[in-house]
Amino acid sequence: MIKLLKAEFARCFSGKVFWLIALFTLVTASSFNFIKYITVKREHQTEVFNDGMLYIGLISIGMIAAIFVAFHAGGEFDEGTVRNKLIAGNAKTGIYLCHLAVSSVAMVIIQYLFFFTFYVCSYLFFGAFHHSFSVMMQLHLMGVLGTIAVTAFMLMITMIVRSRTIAVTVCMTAAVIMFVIGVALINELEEHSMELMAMEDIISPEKYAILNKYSYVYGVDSESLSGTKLAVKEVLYDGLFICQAFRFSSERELPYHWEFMAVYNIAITLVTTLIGSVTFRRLDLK
Amino acid sequence: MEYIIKTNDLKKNYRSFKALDGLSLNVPKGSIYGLVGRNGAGKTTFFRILCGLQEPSSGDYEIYGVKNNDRGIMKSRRRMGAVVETPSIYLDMSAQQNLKYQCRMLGLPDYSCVDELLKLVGLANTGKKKAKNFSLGMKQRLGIAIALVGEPDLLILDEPINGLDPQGIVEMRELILKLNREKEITVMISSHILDELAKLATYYGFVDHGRVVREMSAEELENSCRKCIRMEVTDTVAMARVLDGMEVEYKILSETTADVFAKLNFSKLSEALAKENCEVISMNEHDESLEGFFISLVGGGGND
Repeated sequence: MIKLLKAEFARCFSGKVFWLIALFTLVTASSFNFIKYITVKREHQTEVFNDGMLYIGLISIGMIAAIFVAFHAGGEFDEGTVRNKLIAGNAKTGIYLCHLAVSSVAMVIIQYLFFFTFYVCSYLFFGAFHHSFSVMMQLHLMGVLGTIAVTAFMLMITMIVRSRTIAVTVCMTAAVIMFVIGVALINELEEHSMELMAMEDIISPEKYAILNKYSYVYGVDSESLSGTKLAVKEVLYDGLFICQAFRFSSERELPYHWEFMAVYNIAITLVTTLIGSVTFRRLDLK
Repeated sequence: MEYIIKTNDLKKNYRSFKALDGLSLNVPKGSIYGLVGRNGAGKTTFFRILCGLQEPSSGDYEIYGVKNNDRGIMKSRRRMGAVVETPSIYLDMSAQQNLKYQCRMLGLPDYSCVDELLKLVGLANTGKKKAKNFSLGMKQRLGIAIALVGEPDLLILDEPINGLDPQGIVEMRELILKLNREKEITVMISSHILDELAKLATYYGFVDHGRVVREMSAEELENSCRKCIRMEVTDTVAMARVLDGMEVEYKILSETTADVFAKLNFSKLSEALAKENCEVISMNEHDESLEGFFISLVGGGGND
């Protein structure tokens, strides 16, 4: 498997897909800053903090992983190259895990590429951030777990559908659905948080519980949301990577329930990998 | 005789469809083994199983004496190369990059074999041209070159001449013969173009409905292919009456042509035909082809 890993890493980093995505990330991260810079100049703003935007890369990682995984791993089935790997003595599980490792590393590189490009550009254009660098690093470390979970989910789809075109379509649809669910959840659960925020300046973890005894999510209104429905939404609020990324961008420190987020990300990675690899092992390949 | 591949009552079902229904065959070492069968007979399914792409529903097979459920089967597979259906190549890579990738995957210490293999398959001058811009024949040859990385002892080729032009077919034939004779690679090959297969194979396995109907060497096949006299006459109905009277085996091919499978006194035959007002136009000695033998073995009828 080590030989396969070496070959796959070489293929990934010499391939067009990775570098096109890297270029897209560079352009996106710097152009966000450039647009903001023009706006600031036009409106004569003096204090600009771009902290929230540092995590936009995490919000879009689902879409990027959908494209990368479908092209990198899904192409194996269209071009029939998975046959060479099997004939070369690799097990189907080994091939699956190898794709997971390569795709995860590639996506984590893209995640950090966005962050550092954005950080450098933002620092040059606007100066200091609210977040300390160590908090940024901690949040991005959490983001690595989420990126791997999203990649594992996309890989599971790709290895089961076994076609680049179908995989791109299904993975992109899944990424869009996750984004919509994430945004809808944030909007619903944090509906009243802005009103409460107006009263409280900095919310300590202790105050979360006092301010809202019905949910740890700051701002949940118990009259419209309670019981199992609330419990499910709380799990998704912690577990969905889109929700996590949005929460990173609105906090100045590690978000409340960050341990849950880490556990959910690891669980998603393990479960999707288990389902994907077992299913892939049983599939008849052509 | 030493066998490289042995299968025992191999079965593969796709829901209710039996792709392989008790396939048992043996591939002798050093042979060019031609797998002959109609579309849907189970040839490609068999190759997929050998390559580890699919698991058999029941039965077992051995590659170099290692059974499919033994742990060592993956190591045994490393000794083979295969091109099943379409060549397995990365289309956005050049021929050289494809071979280097295969070298890396097999853990070869260097890329010294790359140029040699490209030369062997006639792709030495393709430079940085991407595989997606290759002709079908070039892709086939690149597929074979990839299969040859790591110096395998066994090469599996599924319909390697499909879609090739006449020159491509000749080149492919020469390449396969060269690999078999010079590098002593055992080749297992399936093809629909039976006349072409007859120019290569030293062993045959005839497959029908997922079973091996018969296995034989090229010499045995030659002996089994019956010689006959192909006669062109004015009235084969009259000829049939005469031949029935002489208790001779024959086959009517058209209104004017028939094959006669017996040693005959042709003076007496022409005399008897004349009495039936049937004239003999021509007579030629004719060998039954591999195609004819296959048809007689599995029966006519359409493809499934």
